Amino acid sequence: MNERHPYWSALLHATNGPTRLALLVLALAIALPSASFDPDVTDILTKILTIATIVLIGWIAMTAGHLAGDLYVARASGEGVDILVARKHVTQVRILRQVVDTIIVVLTVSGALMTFEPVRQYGVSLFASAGVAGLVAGLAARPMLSNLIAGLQIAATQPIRLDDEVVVENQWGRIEEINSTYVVLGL
Amino acid sequence: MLDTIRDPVRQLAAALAFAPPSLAGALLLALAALVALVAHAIGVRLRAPC
Repeated sequence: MNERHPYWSALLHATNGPTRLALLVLALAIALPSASFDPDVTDILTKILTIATIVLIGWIAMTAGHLAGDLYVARASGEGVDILVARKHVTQVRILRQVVDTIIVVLTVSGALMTFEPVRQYGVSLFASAGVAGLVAGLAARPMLSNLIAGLQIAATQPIRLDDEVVVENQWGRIEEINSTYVVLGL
Repeated sequence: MLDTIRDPVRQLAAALAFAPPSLAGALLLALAALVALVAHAIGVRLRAPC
């Protein structure tokens, strides 16, 4: 399996921790209805198991994304590949990975918070008044979102790549890191 | 399939009826966790190359 399916093999190896936690959650979920706790205690334990399941899904999704990125970079920068093309792929994968990580973390945290009734009610009321709230949130998050979209544009159009040499305000430097919202130059 | 797993758990819970409910519940959950960890350890060993 290691040679024929490197992705699945690496995924199985990398998800050792989440798999252990998943088995633990499954076993506890099966045993919990038979345990004669107070209803309040059972409710709390059920909520903990639900949150653990949501975190597990996020954890496995993030690990799978990282592995897919690593495999893609390894293939794209293998022997006989143009160094410029390889750098282009590395840059794209790094930025996209950060964007995907951010989305997964936001979805996981929101999913976990939505298991709490007051938070869910707040979320529903936020959706109900989505017009005004969306406008306020959009205005507040505008600098962050514009930087994020600029980062995606850099990943797609590749005006700069990792290890490019650039001159910024008469300072020579090398692109060391391209993140989703900023670029790091080594002077 | 879940019922075939749940039935022994129910029987074990019935066998622990002599203990206080909270203690019996905690014991049941601890046993379930132990079984899960052992199953995972066996799976990892079986998967590892010889």
